[in-house]
Amino acid sequence: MRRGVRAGAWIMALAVFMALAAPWIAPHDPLARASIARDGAGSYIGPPFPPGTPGHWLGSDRFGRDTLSRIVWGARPTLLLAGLVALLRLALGVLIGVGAGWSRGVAGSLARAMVALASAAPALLVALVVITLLGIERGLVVFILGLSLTGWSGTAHLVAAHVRVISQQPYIVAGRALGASGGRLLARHIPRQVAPLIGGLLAIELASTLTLVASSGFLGYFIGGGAWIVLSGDANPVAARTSEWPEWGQMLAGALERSLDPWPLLIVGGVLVLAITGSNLLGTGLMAVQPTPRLPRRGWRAFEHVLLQLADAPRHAVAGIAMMAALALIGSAWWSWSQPTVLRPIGAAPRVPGGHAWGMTGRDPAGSRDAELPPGGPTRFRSWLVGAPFLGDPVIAADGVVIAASQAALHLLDSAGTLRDLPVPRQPVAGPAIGDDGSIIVVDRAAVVWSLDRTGQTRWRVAAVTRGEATSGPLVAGDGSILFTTVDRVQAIGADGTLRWSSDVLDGPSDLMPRVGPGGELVVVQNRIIRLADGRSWPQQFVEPAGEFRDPQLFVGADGTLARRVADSIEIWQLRDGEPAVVSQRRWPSASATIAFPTQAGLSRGGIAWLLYGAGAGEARMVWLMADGTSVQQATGLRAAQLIAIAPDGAALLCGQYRAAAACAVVERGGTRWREPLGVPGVVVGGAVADSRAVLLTDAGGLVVIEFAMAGP
Amino acid sequence: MIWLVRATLLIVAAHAAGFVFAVAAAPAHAALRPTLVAPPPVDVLAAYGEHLRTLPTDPRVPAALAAMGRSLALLGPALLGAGAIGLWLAGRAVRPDGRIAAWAAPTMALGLACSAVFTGSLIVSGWFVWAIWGPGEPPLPLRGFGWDLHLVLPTLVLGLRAPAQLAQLGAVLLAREAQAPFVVAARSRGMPEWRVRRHVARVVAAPLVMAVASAAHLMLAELVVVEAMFAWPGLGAMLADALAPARLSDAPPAAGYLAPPVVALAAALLVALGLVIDGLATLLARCLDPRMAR
Repeated sequence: MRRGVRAGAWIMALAVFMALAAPWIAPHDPLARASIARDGAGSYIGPPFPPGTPGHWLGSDRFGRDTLSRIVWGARPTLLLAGLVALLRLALGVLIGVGAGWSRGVAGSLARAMVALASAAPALLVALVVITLLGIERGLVVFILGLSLTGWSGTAHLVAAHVRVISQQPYIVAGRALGASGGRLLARHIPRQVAPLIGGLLAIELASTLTLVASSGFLGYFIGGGAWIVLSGDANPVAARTSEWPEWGQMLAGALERSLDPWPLLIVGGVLVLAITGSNLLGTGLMAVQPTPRLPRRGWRAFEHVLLQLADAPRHAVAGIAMMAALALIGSAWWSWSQPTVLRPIGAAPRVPGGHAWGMTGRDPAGSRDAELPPGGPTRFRSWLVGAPFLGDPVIAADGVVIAASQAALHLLDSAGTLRDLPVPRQPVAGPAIGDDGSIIVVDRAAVVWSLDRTGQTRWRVAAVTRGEATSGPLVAGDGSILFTTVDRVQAIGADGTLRWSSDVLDGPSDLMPRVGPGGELVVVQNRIIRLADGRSWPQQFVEPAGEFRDPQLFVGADGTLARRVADSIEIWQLRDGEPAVVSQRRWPSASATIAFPTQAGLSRGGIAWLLYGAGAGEARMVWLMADGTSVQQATGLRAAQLIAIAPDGAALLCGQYRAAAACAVVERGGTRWREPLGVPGVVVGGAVADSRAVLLTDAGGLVVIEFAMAGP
Repeated sequence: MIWLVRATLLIVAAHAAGFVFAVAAAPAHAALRPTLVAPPPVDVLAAYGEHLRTLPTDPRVPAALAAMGRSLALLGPALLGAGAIGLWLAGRAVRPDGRIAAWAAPTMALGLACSAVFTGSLIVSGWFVWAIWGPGEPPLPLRGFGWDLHLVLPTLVLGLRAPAQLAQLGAVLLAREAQAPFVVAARSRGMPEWRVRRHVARVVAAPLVMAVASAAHLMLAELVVVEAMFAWPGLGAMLADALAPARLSDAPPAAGYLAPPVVALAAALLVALGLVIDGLATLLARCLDPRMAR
């Protein structure tokens, strides 16, 4: 039995050591996804890496996250979670068990009823219920609460039975006869009798918590809600949910998804089984160890007793350290409650709708969403409802008329506030554009481009060179050419309705707007550069970022810079000797904590790169990457947010959902400037900012104009 | 009588709690999946009243009862097997002098550590490895329902952990009793070992029945995982379908996903099963040991 205790103690000590020393012994970042490695024979392989791969000795999961590092780092949340839950359960179980076993009055009945209730409710179900209702995105804390709510009934049963036996012992009866109060008897005798059970019960609770967390992960309840990881990067990305925190039980649940690859299962499962076995051995062993016998006075036995006492001393020290650790754990858990650190955006391909800006220049073919945002908050909201869902962004003409497209019609809002509908021949694919001469340009689903005047008369119409379904709306380039996409090609039409070109086939289907790049001679779309002159790809051999899941997206900054977002970093490009080349890279240092990709990215006119993690379950986050390498992250308070406009200093107008209603906010690096509900139904699908007012459109036909105060509050 | 009232109250409470939870959880679950739209708010009380009114004719009630029957088909054999193996192990682990054999503690600790999530997935993985690299499809079907060999794997996984728990509790009980004065006296008078054991068995029978009940509770807790893993259409799979959010962003939700009546029925029936196990065990223990009737 003693050998069992020792083995258990060693196993638990190893786990604690891993938790403490994780930063020094883990070979990789546990959240970083490696996309390529060399196997033993020297050839390149993609994830999942099998065990024995140099650099990933225990292999990786299917997202390329290193198994050994995850196991080592996983010791922290695992021990924190299991330790806190075990402590809480123990405290509840002992308190209620003593009450149930000792008291024969109302308190005792109450305690017994609580034990009956807790043992009737299945612990896993109660845990899932509590986790869901309190909000899984709060992370570890809700798991701790959920798991400790009912699991204590076993402990309470045991303690109650023990206390009931003690309460009938002759010395207790004698104490009562002598007139000692119940409280005094309870305080003097019960703790001494219950204390030897504590160590064992704690370890058993530890084991049962570890098992329960694994089961909850198997059912899809991951700490913090898990992370969505994109499996394909096309227009309709499919994402898989998996555990984000490297907690052992949940890693095991993640390993189950690959039945044909038993290695992660064996490795992670082995670690978990070892940990549970260790705590079981320690617990049952400690419970079986007899209390130290009374002090013998002389001879060899006295010496042996002193040795035993000495051997006992570390146990008290360990108990003290454990208490302090528990306090620290509770403190850090409280801290993590107040800091929702887990980000779970889905890595949808960023869709930056519209190509027209609205602001000073009248047109923004770069799609940079550049605008001036007045320092003050909103002063006036005006709203209109049309009968059909709006599509994409509105445009604002030079004379201030707002033009927006819905599924049924074009809608013109003049500065006097009169809304006028123009019938459209066919349903547009996205928002309209304005030509040089003020004509309204619309692309319908069958890839026919229509040029209309302000009265709705058709000036000309032309079908694309390559027939097919249109996937993004029109954009007017600097030379007046009209660009749009049909599934996997970019199409160009001249300003007068002449056919110009149809580009080479793109890497995949795209509903992203093409963007007009530096100098107005290049068009960028996806990870491709196309010459505006003839529609050919340029250069033919293009640099691909290494690995899969990098989701490269070229874009053009508000300052005219060509840039590319690769995963969570932004590369600044220049044309060097006629070839595009990366001149600098800005990486968000905490990017590994987000797992999925930004939904939007760009460069402000002031040269600040920004990333918006907009979709997904949690609140959207804005990240600014400065030229000097520093970065700022800011929670927006909105869910499913999209960026409508960005000022040169990085302040952004974002719209999304706040408490399940459409709302907008201006978020800057220092915090949120203001946040207001829009008061119209639906989700914001597009917007524009010009002349200190914002125009916003929803998919339920809501049109809102927000007017800003020019001065600060 | 009081027990019956309390049990009924608990079952009704579980039913109501399951219903309210499923309604309240819908927005939280929608938030977990980018493709799921949050449902409109529901008046919980009115919905629950409506559900209670239609309960006698609701086709989901017989369906849930049938699912419970299929769950019992796993639980019964698993409990019988686990009970027999656990008690046999407990008997082997205790030496005549009342000490527990050295192999017992590590074996039982290891057995307890093998939760259904782990053993089940090992078996699933092993099945696939056998099917692809082995001599052909294994003789035992992996997933699905049938009153035949389909029963084997889920029953096995369900019953794998309980023997360790039972053996651990049983060994402690037997070891304590083996040192009791009446055992020592019986042995010293030359009573044959099987008669000594019979006497010991009568003393420990009642606590052992309670230990079997707690093993059954353990199985009940793992039912959700086991049935979901082996696609066995019982009560546990019903709950798993109702509560587990999807793994893929474009996967359609399972039938009965977060349906309040389904969650309510499954929760009530699970709690009822637990209470029936407790009740039967208490009754049996009282028959075996009159002292417990006090």
